[in-house]
Amino acid sequence: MSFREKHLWISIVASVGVWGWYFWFLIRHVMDGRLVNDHFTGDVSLAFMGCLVLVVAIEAVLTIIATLTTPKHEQKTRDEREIHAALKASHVALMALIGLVFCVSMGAYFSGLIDDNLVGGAAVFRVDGNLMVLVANILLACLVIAELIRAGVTLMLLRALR
Amino acid sequence: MSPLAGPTKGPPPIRNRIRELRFHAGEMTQAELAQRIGMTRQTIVAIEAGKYSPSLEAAFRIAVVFGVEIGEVFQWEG
Repeated sequence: MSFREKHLWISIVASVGVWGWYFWFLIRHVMDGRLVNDHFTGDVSLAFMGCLVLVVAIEAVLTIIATLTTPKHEQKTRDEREIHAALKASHVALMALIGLVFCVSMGAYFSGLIDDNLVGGAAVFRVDGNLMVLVANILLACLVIAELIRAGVTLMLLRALR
Repeated sequence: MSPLAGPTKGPPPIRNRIRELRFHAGEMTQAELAQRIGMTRQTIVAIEAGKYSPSLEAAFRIAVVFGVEIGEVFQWEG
């Protein structure tokens, strides 16, 4: 396995593990009805900062291990086949990200219409801080999914071209 | 079909003699060849297996390593 492939696996494992737990934590909070709680933003922000530090630490440690188990020459080499696979995968991930963000936008817009504008009869959106934090986290989930798609498709292409 | 027809699905119709040339170069390893042309061993494996077509520059680099013309390394089979 090349250094690039190892690094992609590290990225996938760290993202799935850490961000998987984070979004599970977030969903549990929302399902428990804590979205209206004053501590919601603080709790979620704390979890987010913790996960950010954790994902950086995990990636750093695993990258050091990958570096030690890869010949020096291959650590620096990033050849055309890898670049080719990375570009193709980035394109797929970008398309996925556009699709996800579009769906989130439409979802937010129509849920706003149904909730307040049309059904409620008011011509305004009523958005509180906690809801904004939730929307920000949904966008973060879109980024994490897009990044997982990029890493996964790159790995798939590298394995197909072997 | 014309040899200039557009790309088709499946492996590229380019045959190569890298394995043979490595043998004649004192059983040069794939890792050694990869290092000399600045690529990964996995890419050499893919090129040798005919699953990946290298760029023109990489093809020239491979030919230079073996001291032969590019046509002696890669042949179009379309």
